[in-house]
Amino acid sequence: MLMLIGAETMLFAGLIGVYIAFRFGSVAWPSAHLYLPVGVTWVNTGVLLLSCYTMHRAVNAVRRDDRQNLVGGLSLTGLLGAIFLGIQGYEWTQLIRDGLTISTGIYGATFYTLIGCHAAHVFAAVVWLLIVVWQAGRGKYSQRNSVGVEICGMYWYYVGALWVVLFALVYLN
Amino acid sequence: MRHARHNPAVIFSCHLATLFVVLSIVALQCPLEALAQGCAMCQTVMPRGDEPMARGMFWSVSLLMTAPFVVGASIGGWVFYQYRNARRAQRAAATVLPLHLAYVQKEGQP
Repeated sequence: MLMLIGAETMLFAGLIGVYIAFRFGSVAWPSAHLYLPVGVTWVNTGVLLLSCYTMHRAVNAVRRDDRQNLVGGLSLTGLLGAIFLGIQGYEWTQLIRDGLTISTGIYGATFYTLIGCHAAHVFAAVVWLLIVVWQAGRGKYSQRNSVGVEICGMYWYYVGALWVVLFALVYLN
Repeated sequence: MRHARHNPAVIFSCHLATLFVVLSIVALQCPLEALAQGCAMCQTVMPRGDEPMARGMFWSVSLLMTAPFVVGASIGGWVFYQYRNARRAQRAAATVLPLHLAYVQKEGQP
């Protein structure tokens, strides 16, 4: 899992490098407040960070052999992740309707590539989490067999921390 | 049981980390602008360093250069941290021999 996270970090380092090159290389870069719904994204960031907390509760539950809280925590985490994706998708429909698309220019291309790549990772994390919830409901995980939950938690924390970096870079400029 | 500081692999890793830190400090004494101008592609495409694109490329290349070292150091540090915790737990769980039973007084001995 550490190798996967390292590889994902290098992927996003490249994408962030491209964004930085165009951001600081442009004479006139539009302010985020002109196009992007920063207020709604603050709420979305809170939702994702709350999901990291619920995931932490679920991981502690499996270490205590508390199956009920494990399933509840994982389910709540998946629900919050789905809410994050739903709000993100709604924002994107509004942006496309307002005329900001991936082919609009450098701004649109870098925005959709960077944020879209993160959204794809969150989607994969939600799908993985649903599988873990299903297996936790069948009683597969216990105090002695908690690796599956813990590595899913590691990936979820990584996705949440990555969003904080991307939010600060793209939305708070 | 061998202590960690006497483990040849740990000694070699410490020497390697020390060498890396010393070389990094020596390399950082060079001005950053001089390091950025060392890239032939940057000199060819952007001969003037005061252009906005040159500034953007500078920061982008600096980020991409440091990223692998940050990732490697983070993973290595995490592995070393887990290793030290495991050694500490292993030492704490080791049973203590009842030394007071090691000596059995024989008959006739004072």
